[in-house]
Amino acid sequence: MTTDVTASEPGIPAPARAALVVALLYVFLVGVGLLEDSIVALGPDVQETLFASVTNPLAGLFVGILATVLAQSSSVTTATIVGLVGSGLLGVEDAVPMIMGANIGTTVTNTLASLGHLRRAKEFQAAFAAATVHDIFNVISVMVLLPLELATGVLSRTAAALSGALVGSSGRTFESPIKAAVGAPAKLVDGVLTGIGADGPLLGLLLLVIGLGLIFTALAAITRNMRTLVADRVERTVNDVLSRGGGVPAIVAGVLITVAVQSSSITTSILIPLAASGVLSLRNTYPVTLGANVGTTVTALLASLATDRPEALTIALVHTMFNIAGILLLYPVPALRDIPVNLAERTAAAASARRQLVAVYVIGLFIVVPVVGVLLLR
Amino acid sequence: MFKFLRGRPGGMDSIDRTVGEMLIDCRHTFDLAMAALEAGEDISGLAADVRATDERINAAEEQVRRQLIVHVAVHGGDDVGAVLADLLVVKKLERIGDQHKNILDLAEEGVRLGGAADHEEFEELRREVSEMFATTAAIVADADGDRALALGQRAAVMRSDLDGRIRELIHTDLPGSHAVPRVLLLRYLKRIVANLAGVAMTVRDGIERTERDPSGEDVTDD
Repeated sequence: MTTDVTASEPGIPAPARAALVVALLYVFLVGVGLLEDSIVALGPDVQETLFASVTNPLAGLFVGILATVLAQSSSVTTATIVGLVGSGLLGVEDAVPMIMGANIGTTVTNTLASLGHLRRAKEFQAAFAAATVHDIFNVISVMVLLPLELATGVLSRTAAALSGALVGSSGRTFESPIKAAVGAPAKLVDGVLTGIGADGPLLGLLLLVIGLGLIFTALAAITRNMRTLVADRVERTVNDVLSRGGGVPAIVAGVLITVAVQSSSITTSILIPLAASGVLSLRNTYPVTLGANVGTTVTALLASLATDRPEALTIALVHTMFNIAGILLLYPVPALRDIPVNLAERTAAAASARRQLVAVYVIGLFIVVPVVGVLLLR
Repeated sequence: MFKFLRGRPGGMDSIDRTVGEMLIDCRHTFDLAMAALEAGEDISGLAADVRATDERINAAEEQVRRQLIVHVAVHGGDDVGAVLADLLVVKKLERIGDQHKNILDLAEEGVRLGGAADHEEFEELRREVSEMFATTAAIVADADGDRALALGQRAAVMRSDLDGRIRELIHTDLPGSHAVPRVLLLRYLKRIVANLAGVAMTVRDGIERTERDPSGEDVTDD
């Protein structure tokens, strides 16, 4: 109810905020451009040292998980991967497992959000199930699609064909108007750093730090502003999901909310209190998280606009296709659809009964396994 | 899908609309329940309508509660005052619906006011309370604090008047079959008026003073 004692601050007007988001998007693309330049400036020796380990696909997968857990954003990780692929240093084949790892790593955020309900057993069980259904779905998708990709290259080849049709074949460059538009500030930063004497690997390192800093800061600011800008629409969409139940409309809602706020973590974290309070059932939460998986891939697609190599678009498309393939693989057949739901329910019941399992699960899945994996496989 | 991009009012505006609809339903059930006290033997049609509408009021209360949880999940604690006020308002409206069922119960027990000496007094009360529903709906729709205050003051006078009538009936020499149903009915009406005033005053004061009447006294009748 609108009361005259709770009037909120007017804040930034919506058109100004929308313009700010466009400006931040430009900064984000400049960051991706700087990242590409930094890799070139680092030189072949440093490049070899940095990326030799990820030629092992499992190591790449674990690097993707760790990087995303540390950044708390798959958008940052995938945009960085796209920038690396756009620089020509990282091959699409090596980047595919990292992209899949980013998909698993991003699920840590809503799992952490569910821990806020730890003190109330019933609420926690529902919240933890809603969080882990996302983890489990993404892990199953990787377990099925990564070996399939390694054996057949089905995702990367299809994505390459698609990007070839859109911007040209791999190994060539194309004239990206976005790349040209973000080139000037990137050159300016490059010129300033060169002017103060930075050169070679030092220049590369500085460009890398600035590029990653811009990507991280711009994405965080975009997410914050978009969340404010579309909050009412997000609220309406979630209410629609509640009134209609799950299924394809819920997947579409997950896509739309995530594209709008540029963060799957925000979408999935919004669902946690709804699940905890019993407003949203696990079966209706699940398809929204699947939509969030697809919606978050728009960031990598945007990042690919800042490069002039078709491979960057290819890896961004792999990210989208991987998530769509996961849905097509597991969601249409009821028996398969129920697997992540049942596993999440069992995991949550066990975690609710023995709270120490929560720490084992979170630290194990998101830190210990990937760290040990990287150390053993590099 | 494209609804997402359209600028429909969302969130709390939608809840305000639902509260308005609940008030319309509440007035409907009040009028029907009071009409049942004037009707002939068969009031099954009226009773069915009152109960069906009350179920709609209860469903709307649940819907608002869900929407408020969604609102908090999306917006965080920005509107915590308005959210708590809405929770209180829909609970008061749900209670009003329950009072109407209590009035209906009296009618189903055979209580009739038609032709009684005090019939006109109750008819006047019915008109005034029914009108209060419309006034409260307008106050909610317009967020009109001044009218809310006026309604709160009027409700305080009415509750005091109803208390006086109840006291008179407690000490009357008339038989229990006359006094008891009237005491119950007046008590229900007093609760309805208190809750309606609470709904209106929430528009003006939020949740801070909503359990008090405009003079600052605690309202314990809801």
